[in-house]
This record gives sequence, structure tokens and C-alpha cells, in this order.
Amino acid sequence: MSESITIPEQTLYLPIPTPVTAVRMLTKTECLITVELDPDRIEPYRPGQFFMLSLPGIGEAPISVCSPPEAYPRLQLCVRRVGKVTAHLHQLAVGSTIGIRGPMGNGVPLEQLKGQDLLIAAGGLGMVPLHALINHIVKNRADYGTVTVLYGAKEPGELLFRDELLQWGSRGDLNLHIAVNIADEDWMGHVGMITTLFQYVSVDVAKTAAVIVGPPVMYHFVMQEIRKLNLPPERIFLSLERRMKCGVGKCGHCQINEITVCQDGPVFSYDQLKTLPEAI
Amino acid sequence: MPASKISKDDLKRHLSEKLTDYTLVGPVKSRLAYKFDVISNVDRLEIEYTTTVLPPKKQFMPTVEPLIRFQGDGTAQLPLIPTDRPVALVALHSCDLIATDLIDTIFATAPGDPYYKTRRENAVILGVRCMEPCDTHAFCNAMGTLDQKGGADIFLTPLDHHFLVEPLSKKGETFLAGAALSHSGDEDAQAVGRIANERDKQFRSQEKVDLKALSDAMTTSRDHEIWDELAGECLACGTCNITCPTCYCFDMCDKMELSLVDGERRRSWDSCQLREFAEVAGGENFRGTRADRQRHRFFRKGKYLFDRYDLTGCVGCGRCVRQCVADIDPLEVYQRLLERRSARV
Ligand SMILES: Cc1cc2nc3c(=O)[nH]c(=O)nc-3n(C[C@H](O)[C@H](O)[C@H](O)COP(=O)(O)OP(=O)(O)OC[C@H]3O[C@@H](n4cnc5c(N)ncnc54)[C@H](O)[C@@H]3O)c2cc1C
Ligand code: SF4
Ligand code: SF4
Ligand code: FES
Repeated sequence: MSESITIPEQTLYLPIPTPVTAVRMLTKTECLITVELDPDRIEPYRPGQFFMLSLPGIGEAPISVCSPPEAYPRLQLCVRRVGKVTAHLHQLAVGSTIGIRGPMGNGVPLEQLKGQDLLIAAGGLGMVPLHALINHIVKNRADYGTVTVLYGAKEPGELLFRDELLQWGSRGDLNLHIAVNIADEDWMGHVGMITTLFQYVSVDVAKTAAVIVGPPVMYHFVMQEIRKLNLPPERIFLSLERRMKCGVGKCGHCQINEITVCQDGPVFSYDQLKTLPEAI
Repeated sequence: MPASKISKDDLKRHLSEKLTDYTLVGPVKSRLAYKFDVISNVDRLEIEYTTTVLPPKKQFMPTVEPLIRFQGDGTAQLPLIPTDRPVALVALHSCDLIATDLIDTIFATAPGDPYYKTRRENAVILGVRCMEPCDTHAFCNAMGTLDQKGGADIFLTPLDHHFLVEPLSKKGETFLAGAALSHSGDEDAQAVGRIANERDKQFRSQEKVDLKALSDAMTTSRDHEIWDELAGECLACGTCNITCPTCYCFDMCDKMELSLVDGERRRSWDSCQLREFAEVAGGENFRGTRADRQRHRFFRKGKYLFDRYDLTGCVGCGRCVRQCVADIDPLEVYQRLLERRSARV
């Protein structure tokens, strides 16, 4: 696992005021927020890490890095409206300020992925952190072998980053497969669970790494397919979602066994998780 | 270092003199039990007491405290913790000293919690040896914390008319400067040995819990029937967490003033026994049942913290046993888990 950044103690809980430079609705429930980080106070981020977004008087929410590291000090965040903090994040206007703490967590081990063929599986909002990874790969395409992306969403209207999906799909050096559980009239693509996309996947076990991010239910089913591919567990990476309050290993909310997901994760190899009850 | 002692009256006098420089916090008698409180008159201080209901961790991590203050202009600031007067935290039992070590490990090591660290560094801790079991609930002897000095700066051992005094740090020596110490001879050490021997026989269990064996037993006890049994009794009230000196989980929430312009982000003690503790968006809950949560509680005490930090997560203070309406008792849980293990091998 890559090492976590050390956070100066005085700013452990202190949100850094950060200007919002763009806001765009991606779907009915997800919006993309762009902010400009203060490079003197916030370090560069990696795919798989997350930030705590803070609104005074409302609260904080952990939100994944959505833009590739190359975008720093710009940062994009994709927020689904599910409750109090996320609803207020949706009301942000360009020019307003939000508080930011982070980057937090370990992130995807980019060094380990280099030179490998990659199998990337995104379920629903799992596309948010993987969007950062895929864009990083696209910008450094020569560093990786064959890249396959599987993306599953409930319905076409829930697909995120539709423009980019089209671009990725037409690049020729990226195998993109998309599945929706329920099609609408305009949908011409594959219909079914994300697991049904594995029929299009063939991997070279000797040099393939997998990165999977999705809701907890997805892991059960996707892991069944992944196991069939016989990839070594230490080359399969998953990102876990847990309730988080502090993000810095203190509050106990994200603890699974002796691990705190906010610090030791959120990205784990399957090798680590196999022996970790309650993890997936 | 030659052993020293101080008469009980002289210690009180010394503590009283220290009131000019230190804020004194120690056990006082409240209606039914003892509690840690700020002391302005040392006559209220009860150095020889049976354990308090709430643990002394509240001195370093108040039940509710501001982490951030918001101003009208949208900026946020850290609240200042006054350190102009050091705090003398007096008469911590060994269980609480070891619990303090554990929380130090988590809150004072990088990235350290600035609020906890500031308060902790500003405090001098006087520990006191227990010369009899607090009551029939305590099992510090079984957990190996009895007689431990942990992070104490000074350790006191009460005898009939005086205390043996061991300074354990520079802070402790500074605090003792000017105290009427005298030489303590072998007969004092022998007296302590005699009393301790008698004391040990009075604990409810004479058997030591093997911490390593307990952690190992837990590894194979995820599906033990005990979790469902406990779930049937537990009311998920969270009292066990609140009274436990080694529980440190907290919640964070914002509180605005009526103006809606200024406000605070606060943390408050939280409890892993409450349903919402591990729930995430979409209603997914990784510890959705009481059985899951009881197991998490006891695994934290007996396994997770031990595996990670090599420190016991339960110091055997017995506070949770005293307060639990369902009479759930960690020692009985540990013994059950160890029993099955020994039955197996
Ligand atoms: C590492 C990580 C990365 C995440 N990345 C993203 C992302 O990129 N985009 C995105 O939209 N969401 C992301 N989430 C989920 C997001 O943090 C929660 O949806 C958000 O905190 C809910 O806050 P709320 O105030 O809007 O909801 P609330 O009104 O608090 O509650 C709504 C629901 O969210 C759950 N919830 C509350 N607080 C948290 C919390 N701190 N963590 C998880 N669930 C919580 C509640 O149990 C409830 O079911 C991520 C979560 C984690 C842990
Ligand atoms: S104090 Fe007892 S009843 Fe309350 S949550 Fe703890 S174990 Fe359950
Ligand atoms: S679990 Fe109970 S006995 Fe053990 S340290 Fe906590 S309160 Fe004391
Ligand atoms: S979010 Fe607080 S410990 Fe991980």
C-alpha cells in the first residue's frame, strides 16, 4: 500500500477555505463540483483518496477524488444527494467557498499498477474514484498494458460522465463495456448486471491487476467473477465505504477489526480483505 | 532512587499549596458514588476511593467539546485550549493509568489530536495503588493492570498514616518539589507486600486472563453462540461505552448560534452499540444487529487494540459491569471464549 500523507496536527480538523470554480449537474442526483485547492495548504492527491467537504453549520462528508492527479491544484468532486450535507453541497454556487480537509487515505497503489494490464470495474458511484484513475491512465497511457473498463449502472440516466464514456470508447486503446440493469427506449447497449460483462473479459493472469469500486452488494457478485479469472489476491484492489466522521483515525466509526478504513484504506488488496471479517 | 514517603496530612498540605499554581482535579464524593471534579479545597479530595462512575478520560476529552469555531465571514478557527495553568490529575487507579496509556497511543501519536495532546501535556498525573478491590465487579487483577503505573508522573502507595511516593518523571519531580518527604525503609515495602497478598485473594477471580490467548480465541469465535445471547440481553443503550476508560469513539456535529452566523463544530462521545454508528448512505450497515455490535465491542476490548498496539483494550475497571442494566460482564465473556478454546485444544 502507498503511504498516507502526514497531516499537520493543528489542521487535523480545520477545513481549509477553498473556492468553488464550477458546478454542473451530471444526472438528476449527482453533481460535479470543481474547486481550486490552495497548494500551500493542501498536498497533491491520488486516485482512491478522498477529501472531507465541510459546510459551516451543516457538517462534513467524505467525498472521493474524481479528477486525475494531473489536475492538481484543481480538484473535481462528484456528489450524490442522499442527505443533509450532500443536499447542501448541491446548492453551491460558483464563487462560493467550501471547507476542505485532506487528501485522506492511501489511494490506489499507482506504482504497483504500472506496467500491468488493468481490469477496472465500476458499479454506480464507484465510477467517481475510478474516473480519476482512468483519466490518469489515459494521460499516461504508455505506462500500462491492455486496459479494460467495466461499468454498471441501474439505468442509463444514472451513467456518469457520458461525454467521456464516448471518448474513452472511441479511443481504440481502452476496452469499455457498459451495462445497465434496466434499459430505456434510447438504450442500445448491454442490459444486465455488471457481472454479465465478464463474458467479454479475458486476462493474462501473469500481468493483470484489477481495481474494483462499487456498492457493498456489488462486491459479492463481482468477486465471484473475479475469482474465476484466477488473479492473485494481492493484485486485486477494492475500495471500501464506511461511515466516517474524523477521517484521521480517531473517531472509531470506520473501524473494521484492527483497521481504520480512513487511514489504512479505503483501498485494500483482496489479499488483505480475505482475512478481514465484516470487510465485504 | 531512595524510596520516600510523606504523611497523609503533609500530602494534603502539599496539594493545598499547589493550588496556587495548578488546577487540581481528583475524586470527590458525590451523592452515591465518586466522581472526578475540580477541587478548590483539598478536604473534599478522597485519595482512597472506590472507582468513579465516569472515567478520568473526560479531563483530556470532554464529553462535548468544540473542534472548530465558525465566524460570520465563513472562515473557521481552532478554539484555544487554555494552558496558563497546569492541571494536576490526582489519584488515578492503575486501571485508569493503563487506559490513559492506551488513549495516549491513539490520540497523542501522529497525527496527534491537538486538543487531547494539549490537555494531556498540560497535566501531571498522580497515580495511587489500590490496596483492596474496589468492589466485587473489578477484575483489574485478571487483566494484568493492578499495581501498574502506566503514564503516571508520581505513584502513591497508601499505608496507614502515610503514602509511599515514587516520582516517575521530571513533571512529577517538579510537582513534588518542597513536599515534606522522608526516607522510607524496607519495613514499608514489606508492609505493602503483605497487604497486596491479602488484597489479591479478595478479587472475584484469581485467574489471569491470558491476553494473547484471548485475542487468538476471538479469532475463531466470530460465530460463537454468545453474541446472540448477549444481543438478547443488551438494550443498545451505550452506557458501557460511556463509562469505559478505553472507549474513545466520537461523533462530530455542527451547532450554530441563534444568529446562524457564528457556530461550532463539536465532537461528543459516541457509542458503537448504537445502530447508526456504522451505517452508511443507502442504509447499508456493516454492524446492523446487536450481536454484531456486541462482538465488535468485545473484539475491540480483547483483540483489535491488542493486535494493533499490544495493549489491553479492557483494563478490568468493572465500570461497565456496575452500570449495565443487562448485567453484561466482560470477564464472563472472556472466560467463556477462553473456555471453548481450551476445550478445543
Ligand atoms: C471514502 C468515502 C468516499 C466517498 N466518496 C463519495 C463520492 O465521491 N461521492 C458521493 O456522493 N458520496 C461519497 N461517499 C458517501 C458520502 O460520504 C455520504 O453519502 C455522505 O457522507 C452522506 O452525508 P449526508 O449528510 O448527505 O447524509 P446524512 O443526512 O448524514 O445521511 C444520509 C445517509 O448517509 C449515511 N452517512 C452519513 N454520514 C456518512 C458518512 N460520513 N459516511 C458514509 N455514510 C454516511 C447515513 O447513514 C444515511 O444512510 C463516500 C464515502 C466514503 C466513506
Ligand atoms: S451498557 Fe449493557 S445494555 Fe447498555 S449497550 Fe452496553 S451492554 Fe448493552
Ligand atoms: S470494558 Fe468494562 S471493565 Fe473493561 S475497561 Fe471498559 S468499562 Fe472497564
Ligand atoms: S473516520 Fe474517524 S477513525 Fe476513520
